[in-house]
Amino acid sequence: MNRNGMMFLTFLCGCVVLTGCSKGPGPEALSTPVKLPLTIYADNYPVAYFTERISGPLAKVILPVAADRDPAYWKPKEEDIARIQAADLIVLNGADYSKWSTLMSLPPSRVVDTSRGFKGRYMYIEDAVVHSHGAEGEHSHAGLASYTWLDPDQAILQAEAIAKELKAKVPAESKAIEERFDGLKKDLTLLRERLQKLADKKNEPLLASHPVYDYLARHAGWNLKSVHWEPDELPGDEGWKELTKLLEKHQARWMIWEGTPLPETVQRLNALGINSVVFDCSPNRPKEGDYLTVMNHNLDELSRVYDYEPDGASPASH
Amino acid sequence: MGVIGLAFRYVLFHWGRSALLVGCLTIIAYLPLAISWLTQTFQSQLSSRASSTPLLIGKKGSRFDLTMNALYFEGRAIDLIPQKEFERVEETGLARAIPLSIKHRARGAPIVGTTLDYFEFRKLKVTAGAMIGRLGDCLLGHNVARRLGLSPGDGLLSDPDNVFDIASSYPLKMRVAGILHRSFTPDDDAIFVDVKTAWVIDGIGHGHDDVAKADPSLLLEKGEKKVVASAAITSYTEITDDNINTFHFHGDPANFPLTAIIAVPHDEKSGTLLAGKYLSADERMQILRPTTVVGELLGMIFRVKRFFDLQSGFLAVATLLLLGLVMTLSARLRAREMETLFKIGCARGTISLLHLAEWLIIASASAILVGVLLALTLSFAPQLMRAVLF
Repeated sequence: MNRNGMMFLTFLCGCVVLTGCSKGPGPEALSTPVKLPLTIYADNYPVAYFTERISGPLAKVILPVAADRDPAYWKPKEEDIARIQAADLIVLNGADYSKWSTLMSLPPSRVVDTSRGFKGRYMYIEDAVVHSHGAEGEHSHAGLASYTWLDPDQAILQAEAIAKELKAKVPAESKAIEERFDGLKKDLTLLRERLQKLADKKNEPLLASHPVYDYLARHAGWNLKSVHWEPDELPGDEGWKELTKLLEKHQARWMIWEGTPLPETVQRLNALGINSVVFDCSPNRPKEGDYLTVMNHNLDELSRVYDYEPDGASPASH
Repeated sequence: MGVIGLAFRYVLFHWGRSALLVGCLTIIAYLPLAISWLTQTFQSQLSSRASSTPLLIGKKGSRFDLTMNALYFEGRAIDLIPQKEFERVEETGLARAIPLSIKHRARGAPIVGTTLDYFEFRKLKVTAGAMIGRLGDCLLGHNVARRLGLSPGDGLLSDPDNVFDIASSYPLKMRVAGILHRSFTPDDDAIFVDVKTAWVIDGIGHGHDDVAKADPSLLLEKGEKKVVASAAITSYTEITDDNINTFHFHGDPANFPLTAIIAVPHDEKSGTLLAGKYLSADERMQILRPTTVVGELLGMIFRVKRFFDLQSGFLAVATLLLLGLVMTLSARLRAREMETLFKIGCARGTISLLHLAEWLIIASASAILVGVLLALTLSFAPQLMRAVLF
């Protein structure tokens, strides 16, 4: 065979091989290569804390909300959206906690809804204003109670969901992730035991300044009713009327606050025989300490409620 | 004047006969080539799309309609499935699910409601603007953007479902967030939105002023815990940074409608296990492998193609016989002319060369025409195939 003949044969073989190979794109898996450390965005401090504890050096965990803002009502800017969409993992509290996450476009394959595992136990905020219009029927905009982490059992489940996703993301680090999760679970279990000891003491009517303690109340078996007061605002006449009406059926002696209430409010509550205690839900990163520090401090504060005897010394209320 | 010149003058002088011959040859060559190339284009379009989509889940019914809807955003409307089917796939842990809601159109193009995973899965990149960021954003396929002359930042109104039904959902003015890179797939002809935006267009989600603070004339009832507004309270028809937080959805999200779900199994075994979960007799969903469905569809098409091939074959034979007849008759008619040429000193070989040159000119003209027609056919093939078949 001459040189031209050989070249032609080579060309023909090349064509056959190429034709045989070109079967079009095959099924694509939705997994992108993992580059450590992972970039993880969280929508509130508790899940950010759990992620930091479980991931250790494997991830950089970002809570993109300014320290003085409530993460539930944060509004991301265009550049925030692009950054969150590009993250390796987006850890959400779930239970409709962050409004922005329901209005933004997120890639479900990289989103961990940490409370999805117990969605059957979600609670709806009682006493929310219901409205209806058009043909859609009655509905409420208040929706789900979303402070799920306040129930320590649920907090453990949320941490477990994060650990599971991290193990799937970095299988080579599964053992280390599991060990770190066990450490966190131990700490959360200690919190649960402390809370249980307090709850076992007595069951008296309690008030909450805001309807955010539903899961905590259910876990601890509290008899809790909520008003809609802000710690840094004076309740208006409507607010006091609402409280007076509530006290007729629910004779509480303690009101639990998310933050330190104004002295005027505390004084007026004291006049009604109601003491104030702060239980910081810690939705955003604390100025000092961490999640466990804040929760332990909350339990210290709560012990005042349970140790309080009305005929004894006056309460060291806020 | 040489042989070629003489032949050219002859062909031009008898332009009617020459045009007829060019036409005959063109049809003989063009028809089988065009049909073959078109079917190849169609086959490669269907096959590549199908082979890049591992599994499809939808309501039990026509497999072809489900595949056409979910893969090509065309075909008859199919029964919808609840969103809990998406959760069902996710909860198996065997595959990632990508929801698809394909119910609405905007200026003739289908609006595809999905999640960001779809773009990652199809390897679609944004060439201008940005990815869908929030509720109300849309991404335009390359062809849609070009046809509608839209660019990032522009608005695009969804088509109303029924212009005669004033109680139906309002069209939504979407914000064009970006334009997708050309992919030479049906994605080029679609408008993509977040699946939640598709639900807003459905009327399941909407935004409006606080009902509790609304004009009393718009309220039917206002109690301490319950406010009933009349249908006159207007919903926003555009989602902006100012009103986005008023948007909300009605009903149980588990029942929100989807057209289909693309399931991307982690491996072959997971795919088989997932398919097995949809085999029970009382199952209301169907799971299918698009490659199988498209294979069946192509099988039918190729049976039709064989008929076309046969027809083209017969046509070619008939035309060639006709050409033979024309050539024989032409030679007889020109017998005296050839004799004259011979008598004035033209060699017999030159006379044969003259005949050959005439036929070569006709064949060349025909080849050029076939080339032009094939180029036109190929450039319009994808649109033509979609217009004819879907």
